[in-house]
Amino acid sequence: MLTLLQGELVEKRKWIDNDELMEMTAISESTPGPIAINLATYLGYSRGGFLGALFATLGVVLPPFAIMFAISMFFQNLLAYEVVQYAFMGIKCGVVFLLCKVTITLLKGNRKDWIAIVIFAVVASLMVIFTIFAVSFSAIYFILMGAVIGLLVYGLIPYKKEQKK
Amino acid sequence: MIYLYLFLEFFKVGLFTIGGGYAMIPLIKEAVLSHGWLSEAEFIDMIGLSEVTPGPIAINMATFIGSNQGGILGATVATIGVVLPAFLIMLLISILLKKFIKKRFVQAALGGMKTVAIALIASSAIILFSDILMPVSYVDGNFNISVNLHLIKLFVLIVAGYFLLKIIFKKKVSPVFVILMSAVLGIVFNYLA
Repeated sequence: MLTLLQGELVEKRKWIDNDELMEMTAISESTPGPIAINLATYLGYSRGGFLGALFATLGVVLPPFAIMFAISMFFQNLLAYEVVQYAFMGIKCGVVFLLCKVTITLLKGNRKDWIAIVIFAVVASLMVIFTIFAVSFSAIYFILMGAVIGLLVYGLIPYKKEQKK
Repeated sequence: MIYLYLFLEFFKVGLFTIGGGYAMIPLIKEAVLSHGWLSEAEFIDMIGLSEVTPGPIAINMATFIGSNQGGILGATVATIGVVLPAFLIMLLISILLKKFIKKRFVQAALGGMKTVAIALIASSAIILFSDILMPVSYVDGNFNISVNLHLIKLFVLIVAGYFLLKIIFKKKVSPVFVILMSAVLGIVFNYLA
């Protein structure tokens, strides 16, 4: 995705330079929603105001929308074929493998202080336990708690210490 | 009514996932399973399907589930729902306060949220791994584990295939390629077994 954007936006159209693209990617990663949408809205607005943002976002949403809508029309019929069922048996295993791989990659890139380790261990194990015992608890609450703990531990407490000095 | 639910559920997914891509999977799973829009097995098929079709996973999922539940209108409201939070927030950031996101307290809160997001992905990985390869259930005070040997063999084959490709091509193997390889191995393995 990033290499495609770099080729198209930086080298071909010269809309932005590499540093700007990196900064935009960083901002997109720390705002909610799909990164492609964030980037499109941001770049669209900076080059063409509200309409620019609207059209850039529509541009990035329409292709997957059209393709998935078409697929959804005949997907159920496709699953009736034995060969397709076998393919999806493999795909299921592949997806599980990808998720494990992504988790490891993300963990490597995340901060490694003990607070982060505790948050990770507690949230991951609670989610698994809740699933086994069929307890319904929305993941959204964990995300909100993460925001509060992050604000306290990485923001306010170091800030207070600096103020005292 | 279904249109409102589709819109609201996907709006929540769009609003609460930071980091994009896989970070959305735990919340989408919660939304579709709680409404019975997909079974867990269908949900995993959907991840695979979204992986090999172009575009962000969240949009693929929203379009597909919306279409299944409410036709073209359902697909449209679900997709708008998942896109809208990102669109509005980015617009706000572009207009008002580009520097806001760099503020230390915003970054501090995001630091905590990102760790939670990774933990949620990890728990999804563990839960799906167990549900597919060795489902655990808790009935009347007893844990029951049923091991699916057939799928475990296939899983090992896919992992081996991945590392083989990585060694042969000496670079990263894209997720699309992993899914396509898994499909081929799934077919070959089942016809041979």
